[in-house]
Amino acid sequence: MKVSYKWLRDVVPFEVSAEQLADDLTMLGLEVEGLEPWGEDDHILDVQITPNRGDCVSVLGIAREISVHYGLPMESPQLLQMPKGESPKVTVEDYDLCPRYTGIVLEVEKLEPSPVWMQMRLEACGLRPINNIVDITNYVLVEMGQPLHAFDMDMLAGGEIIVRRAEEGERILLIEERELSLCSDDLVIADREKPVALAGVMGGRESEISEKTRRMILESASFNPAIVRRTSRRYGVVSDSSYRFERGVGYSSAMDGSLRACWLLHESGSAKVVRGYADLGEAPASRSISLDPAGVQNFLGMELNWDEVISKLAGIGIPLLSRKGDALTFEVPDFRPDLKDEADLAEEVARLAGYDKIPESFPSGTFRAPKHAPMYIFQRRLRDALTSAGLFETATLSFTNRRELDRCGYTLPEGESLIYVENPLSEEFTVMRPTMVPSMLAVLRHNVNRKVEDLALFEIGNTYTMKGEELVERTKLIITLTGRIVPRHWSFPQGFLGDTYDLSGIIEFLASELNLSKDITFEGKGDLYCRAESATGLYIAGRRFGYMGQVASDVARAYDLENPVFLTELEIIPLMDCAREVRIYQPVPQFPAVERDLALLVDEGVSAGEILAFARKEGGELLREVRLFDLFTGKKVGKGKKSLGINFLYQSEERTLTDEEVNELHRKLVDKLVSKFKGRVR
Amino acid sequence: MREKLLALLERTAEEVSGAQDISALEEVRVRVLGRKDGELTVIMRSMGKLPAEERPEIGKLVNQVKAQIEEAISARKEALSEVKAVEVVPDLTLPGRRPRVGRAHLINRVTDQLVDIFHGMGFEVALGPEVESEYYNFECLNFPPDHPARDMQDTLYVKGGGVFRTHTSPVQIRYMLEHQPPIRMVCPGRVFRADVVDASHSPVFHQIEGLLVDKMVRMSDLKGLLAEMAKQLYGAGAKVNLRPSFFPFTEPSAEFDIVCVNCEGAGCSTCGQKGRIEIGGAGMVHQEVFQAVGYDKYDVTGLAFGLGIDRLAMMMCKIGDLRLLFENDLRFLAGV
Repeated sequence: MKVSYKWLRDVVPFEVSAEQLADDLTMLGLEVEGLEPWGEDDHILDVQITPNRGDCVSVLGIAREISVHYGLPMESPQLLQMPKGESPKVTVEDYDLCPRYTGIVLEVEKLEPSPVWMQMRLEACGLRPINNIVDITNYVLVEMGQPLHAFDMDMLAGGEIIVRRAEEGERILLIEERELSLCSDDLVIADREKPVALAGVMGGRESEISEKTRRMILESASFNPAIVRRTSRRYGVVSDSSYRFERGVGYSSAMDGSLRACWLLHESGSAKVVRGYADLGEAPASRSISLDPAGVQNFLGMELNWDEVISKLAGIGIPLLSRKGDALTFEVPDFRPDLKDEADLAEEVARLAGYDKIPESFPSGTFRAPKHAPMYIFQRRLRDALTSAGLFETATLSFTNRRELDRCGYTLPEGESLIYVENPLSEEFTVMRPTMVPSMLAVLRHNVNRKVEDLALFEIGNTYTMKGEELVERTKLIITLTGRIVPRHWSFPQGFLGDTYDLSGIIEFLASELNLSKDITFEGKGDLYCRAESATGLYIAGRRFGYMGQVASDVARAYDLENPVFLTELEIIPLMDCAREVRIYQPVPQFPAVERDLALLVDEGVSAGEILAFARKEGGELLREVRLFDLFTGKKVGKGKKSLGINFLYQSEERTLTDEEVNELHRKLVDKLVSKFKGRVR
Repeated sequence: MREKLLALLERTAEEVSGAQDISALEEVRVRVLGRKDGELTVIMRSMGKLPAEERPEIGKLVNQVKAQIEEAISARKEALSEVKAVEVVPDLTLPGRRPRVGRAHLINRVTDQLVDIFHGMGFEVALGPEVESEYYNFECLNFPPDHPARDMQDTLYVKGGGVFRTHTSPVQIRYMLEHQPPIRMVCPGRVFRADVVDASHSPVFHQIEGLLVDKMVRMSDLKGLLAEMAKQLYGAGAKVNLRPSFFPFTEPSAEFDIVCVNCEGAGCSTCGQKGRIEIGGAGMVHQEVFQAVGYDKYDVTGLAFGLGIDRLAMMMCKIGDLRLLFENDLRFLAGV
């Protein structure tokens, strides 16, 4: 709420500067978000009122806090003496929805611009002056927080007012020229025939005060906050009035606000009260809250001067009712619906004493050894491994859209569907991402377009799909490489472009960091969650948990990427489930190793992985390592063939091996390899 | 023949010791010992023409001369290379080869830093889903339906039901439902709001919240705990400041600020002239929340706090635009 510094000072005679006032209000929980000079000698304070403090959405509400804080008196507004006489005809159908309705008839004496002082105060508080009558209703709204509405009485069929639920499909044309079709969850002010206002939200066009208005009914009421809020949100009609009613307007405020407006109307010669009040609704039972001073001191962890606390509470309208033994009982005013129990009062106590007076202590009590969620620990472990492998971590938004997914050639897993955002803010963010691929390709594009072309990135994040009725959130890891893997350097000016084997090398490294070297395998073909040039599945314990490979070049080009893009996306849970925390010590060999090299010629279609795995399996326990050190194809080896250079390392943990026994072992293994893969030794 | 050999030896020895570099020495070697027509090679080839009785003696001499020349060359070669090693100094100002090491995202590094601070004070990490039910995101946290408190967090909804969690508080609820007091936990994670992307807003950002439930937890403990966090983040001189505020799930509620480390509260450009840096919200757990998770049967109180990691990271690294965090320019990722 915007409020004038000068107006506040006219109500409470404080001496502090606008800046100091802003700081003090902030420390009272009325945060001043902005402070701007206004006119020659005024300032506008933009006070952020929290939703629980509806009572402070007014000049007097804020002034009440200030007067208590500075220990200064506060000027009360002048009200009209309660007039007597016949009341207008008002019916309230449901007091839950309208706990109080007051209406009084006034004769309009003149319609003209308001006096300058009132126009200035209204403008300072962000309201546009209209005419003397409307301005007075707005003035009371800003001053006391009580929304008012004036109806042209001669435009009301039957000259009466009925507060009721709208009928389905009933229509109303609002002051702001919008026509609405209403439903039974809307509360309306109606005449004998039709709705003339959306209760607490906005008046109707037809019964608005105009130059022709001779008699008016001034409404000052209290409406149910929830129904006002629902109506306001349903039609997107937000007004100063609905804002206050949503936060709760107390029972007593309705009559005070009306009498204040009548006084102003009289004083300015704008209108004259001619009859008495209609006043419907019963005053709520008074409420009280008891607190235990020692308990509150313990809860806040601070010593309090209770005489001062009691006097300050009384100052903001919470008087002490009784003192019985240890308990203090306070009355809760109807403008503080937010105060419900002892903790609420404890907050008021702490607030008035000053949060800055709360000392600092350290929690005592039970200490248990904390144990983080395994997923958190695992993600840190992944991050450590991947950054040590030279990868940078990205953070991309969790949204995508259909167009982006199509651009990647994304295909949903069998039986799963996309999750859409109900109220997206832009076309870009309509779908919850089922894969991180589009986000990552966009990151590559962003960088490459800025000539940052050598990229090795990863991200750990959630992806979302719907599986039947169930929403599936999967935590995934995506890694992508493009451009040089070895940067340009004066000693090696071309650098070295990365390829699939840099990516698989990272996965192998990761596997080894997680102590899963023997458990992760690359098998079959995959689609990378996007169209792939070539790809393979990643398996662990017989379960596929992701893919790796090269992004199809047309997809890469769609993202302005000229260099090949290598990418893997994998699920984390299967990895986490299998990962081993501890490595078991493998004795360092004590006896010399014997090496043998083999040049094996096989058909091009035979996979190297299979050959190596077969050799490891068949090599016996003395075969410690099998390593591919050379690979070539071409004229020398013949069309459709490839030659693999394989190094075998034999070693015993108990003795030095002799040449003869290694020869024998090696020969047997080579024979097996040759016959298994229909190869030839070169 | 003998004289010829001795003269060759003498001349060659002079030439070898006179050679100033390896190539000059190599020239001498080729001229004398060259396989095709080195001077000594030619002499050796002509030995066949000598009378048989002279051959053993001259042969012996030839071998001696050859050995001496070879030795002289090799000694000179060594001497020359030593000189060279001393003379040629590598240019140490040439840029070195950097080890290739990456970096975790700033948001995660700050998250881990905060987690470690609270871990040291007995807090453990709990995680939860990013898509939540309204029940966990709002109702259990004492957000009444049709209450303006819901406007404090512009919510993104999932088509067909559910919300994108607007805070990590639902993780606290889930945790309390699964654990008995006493509790010390923190929940970092991604949260969502219906905000358009600009320099200070993003539909996706990150929070860490903490919860401590025990017998006799005091509001002063909350202040002490946050002060400890501030000290560990900003150094021993850091101070926290609590201001009254409102959250449906805490009572009393507070905003917490760190008194600007740069100007010590006087107001400067770092803190936007405010003298304080707004860090997050906190308070004492509301009884309604304890009721929702069945904790009202215990004689406990609790404190809770939450803060925005992105904003904290921006302040720590003096980053002026939130979008930089999600743009993922490598120069940014490597630079902070």
